[in-house]
Amino acid sequence: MRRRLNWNFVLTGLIALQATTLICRAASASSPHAKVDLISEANAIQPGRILRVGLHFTLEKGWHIYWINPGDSGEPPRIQWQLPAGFRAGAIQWPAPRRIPDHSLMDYGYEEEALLIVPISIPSRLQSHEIKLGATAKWLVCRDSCIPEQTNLDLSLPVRDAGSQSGSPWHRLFVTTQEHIPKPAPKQWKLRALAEKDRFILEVRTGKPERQAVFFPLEPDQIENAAPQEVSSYSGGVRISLRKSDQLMQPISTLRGVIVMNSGQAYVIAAPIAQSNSPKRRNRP
Amino acid sequence: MKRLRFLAVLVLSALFAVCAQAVQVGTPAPDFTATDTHGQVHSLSEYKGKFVVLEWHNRECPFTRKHYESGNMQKLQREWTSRGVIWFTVISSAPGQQGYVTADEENAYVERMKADPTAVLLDPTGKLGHLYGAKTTPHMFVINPEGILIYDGAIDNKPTTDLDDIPGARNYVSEALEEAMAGKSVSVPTTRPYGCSVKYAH
Repeated sequence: MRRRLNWNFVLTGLIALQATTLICRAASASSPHAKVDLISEANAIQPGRILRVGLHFTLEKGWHIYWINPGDSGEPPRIQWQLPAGFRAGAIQWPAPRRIPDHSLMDYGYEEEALLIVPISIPSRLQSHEIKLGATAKWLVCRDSCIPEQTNLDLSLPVRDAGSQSGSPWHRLFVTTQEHIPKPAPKQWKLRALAEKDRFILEVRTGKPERQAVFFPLEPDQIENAAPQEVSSYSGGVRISLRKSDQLMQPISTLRGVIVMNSGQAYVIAAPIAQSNSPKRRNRP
Repeated sequence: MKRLRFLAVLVLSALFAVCAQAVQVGTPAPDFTATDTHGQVHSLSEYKGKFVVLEWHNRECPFTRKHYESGNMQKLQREWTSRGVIWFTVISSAPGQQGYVTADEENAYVERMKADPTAVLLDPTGKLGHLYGAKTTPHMFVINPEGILIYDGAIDNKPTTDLDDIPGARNYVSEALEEAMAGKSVSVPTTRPYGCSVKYAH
């Protein structure tokens, strides 16, 4: 009984602590497992342009946050913006994630560090000389266990004309993160996914042999996340054998996801599904 | 040569069948025997003739906490047990893992949270969890009076830890029970479960 009372005490303390985080607004917030900063690529706001800002997560070793499709467990971070009139926030530009095993499950997310970039469109006329952008961020940070965290962040930037704008100290991080944000698949690529009984054979024909590739589904119920992906290189590209999801009850027409190639470059792909009845027949004389 | 190929296909299909999920909606739910927090032994076959709900549970998981701190899970337990449904909360956390509890600790929790399941089954070896392929907490299963599995998946359609998401959520368990009790087929028989991973022994 005494132990339970102590736990209640600890819980109350934690709630109080969380309330304190809620009240305090800053460009940076720290929890035991994640440090989160609201940062900007440029050091000033330019009327009529797009400003790239981002939530920068620095994670305690062993802890992770989630991609837009979290995989078998977890949930992606969410941002609610408080912006001046006329400002519009776009969608989060999710960098390619990693496969993160979690007991018998497979999650998709980020470890160590992640920058979630959001483009903000700025109105062409601005009255004030300084603009304050506000964001409420909610995220789930997990290791063996998961902790939901949230914070309010502010970022104030001066308004300047085109000529006098320059990069912020974070500019470099935006550039390197941009390299990990999936691009549209090149037009000359040929994509298809052969549907077999229990598998999809995703074929990415790039025109040259590809040594390695990892597929991350954008739809939650298409493939079995934890099943190993069997990659085979061939002269024209790469094939990945993916186990169908147990939840996949109806045939699908497109396999949608992000593919990360050996170079580290990520692409968004949508591979039309082709039924493979007896592909071996072609070999008959 | 052709025969060899045929054999290979057969062997491969058999292998895939083994790899496939533990239970399948529309087929008989596997029988089990498990002990509850009061030392009473339950087996699924005893409850033929009744609907049975299995709810995978980990009190420290934020997704589970969403449903208990809002009172949502308790409300579901009360509603459905009062309508004759057998509701088993199942704990498959291994000793030393998050969510592992002794029978006494769990009984105190049930009392404190005003939870109202038929019983809480303790599954520290993960035997029951693996039998059903329970992936997350919560992960919900519904079995009909004939012993057929009629629902396998998430508790609702809002895979978040946010308490505010409960009021607008579509509850798949209630939907499956309502439909089945009205003699209809279950319109959403399987969904992707969401939550924390079940903390099985490594």
